[in-house]
Amino acid sequence: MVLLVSLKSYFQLSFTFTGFQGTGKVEGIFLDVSKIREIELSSTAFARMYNLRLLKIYNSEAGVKCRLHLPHGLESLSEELRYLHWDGYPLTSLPRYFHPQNLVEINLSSSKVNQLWSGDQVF
Amino acid sequence: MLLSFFCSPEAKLVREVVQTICKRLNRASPCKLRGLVGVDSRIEKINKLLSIVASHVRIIGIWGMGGIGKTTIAEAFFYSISSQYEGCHFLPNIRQESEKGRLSDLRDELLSKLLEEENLRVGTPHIGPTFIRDRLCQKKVLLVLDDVNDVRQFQHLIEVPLIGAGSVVVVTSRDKQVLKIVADQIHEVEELNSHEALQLFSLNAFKGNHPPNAYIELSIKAINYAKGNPLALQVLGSFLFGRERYFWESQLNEIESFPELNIYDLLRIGFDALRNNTKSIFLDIACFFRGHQVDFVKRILDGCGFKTDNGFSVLIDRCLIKISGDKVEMHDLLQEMAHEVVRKESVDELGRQSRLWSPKDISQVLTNNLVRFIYTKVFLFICNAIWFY
Repeated sequence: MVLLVSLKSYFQLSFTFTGFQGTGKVEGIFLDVSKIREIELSSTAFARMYNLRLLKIYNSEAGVKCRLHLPHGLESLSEELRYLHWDGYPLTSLPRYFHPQNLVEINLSSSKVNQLWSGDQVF
Repeated sequence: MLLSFFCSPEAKLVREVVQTICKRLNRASPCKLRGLVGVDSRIEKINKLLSIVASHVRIIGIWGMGGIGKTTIAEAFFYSISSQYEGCHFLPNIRQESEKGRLSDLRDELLSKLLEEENLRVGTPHIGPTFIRDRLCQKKVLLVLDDVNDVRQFQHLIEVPLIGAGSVVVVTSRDKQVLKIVADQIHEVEELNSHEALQLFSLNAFKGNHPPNAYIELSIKAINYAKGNPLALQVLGSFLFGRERYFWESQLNEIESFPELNIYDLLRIGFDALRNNTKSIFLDIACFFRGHQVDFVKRILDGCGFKTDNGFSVLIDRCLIKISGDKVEMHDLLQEMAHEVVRKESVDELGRQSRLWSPKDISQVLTNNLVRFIYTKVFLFICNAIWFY
């Protein structure tokens, strides 16, 4: 019985799984956090956006805290990233699997960062 | 000796006189009016409206569809009469700035300009300090509030009883309801007539006032499609500039085949003709960098591997973007067209769009990712379960 249910959901799930591959197309995200409700992101939220060039998470209203939470940290960001701007970045360091060889500008104002990376980074 | 000469009150006085005259001359010079068609007659109409209104602060609304030239007319009007006022200021793109939550900054900017004082900060929603109020009351000012789409924006920026007698406020909007509430008189901007349309089109397509004889028929065909909308005429004209006759014919035939031709379709033609890299630059600017500093935008886009200098000059030649001051600007309609282009990349799934700018869409894409994350875990769990059996 358990197996039947599992199999059924297995097919549904694998269908859903492939359905989301498309986020690889995303090249730019500019998010004004004062316009959204609080959301919690998974640590792999950006994992599939391997073409992301421009990422800006900003706050147009003074006094609003970053409503984007990363309770489980952040695993990776796209290597294609050129512009990283994140007001109130909630973590103490940048993702472990983030090789910023293409980065042109980085702006992490009022973030909690105390060490950008542990280990070596090659630019 | 020399030093004391320069510091003497007379020298100071002379300097002040020169500065004041320069300022007046600056305002009066009509250099901005070059390349405009049909603006004079429209300014005259606004002047007529002004003479009708009797109240002590006169508020004129300029209303019309997108791309019809509201801002251009307001600007030309502003330059034509600003020398007659003690203080004047032009506030562009209010709708957009208000979406960014910058209304209070704009109001501070406005007050500092009108009172000729740097970095005036009020900070509160209402103009509080009586000193500022008293000084404003004494001044006859000219204001342009460009692209207002909500009465509250108007109320936030200016308290009408506060400014001095004889002041003029010009408000432009696409929304007639807003203007009906705030303005004393409304000027409806009409389409360019066929003569004006041909002249504006020729300025962009041939860099002259008239089309060459061989192109007259084709030009008339083209201006008929643009229906007297100046933005469409500019984009279409600069798109056809320097092209061969057969290119004109094939493009105009293609336009003819559109079932219901609207202005977006015409603007889209200008966009479609760009190379892929230039298209990307245009879309990036429209989605993310409108109103940002040119140097900053160029640095980032150069970093993305685009030939930005070249791309910018093509986009400027085709009337798709413009540089105003040190900022990159584009027309609202062109931005809307660009947004439409990106949306059409994937209608059913937001995550397949190349660019995301609307907070609602972004939250949806990011949380969908979260959903996928949970599914993956469940999926692994199920695999384990099957394995276990």
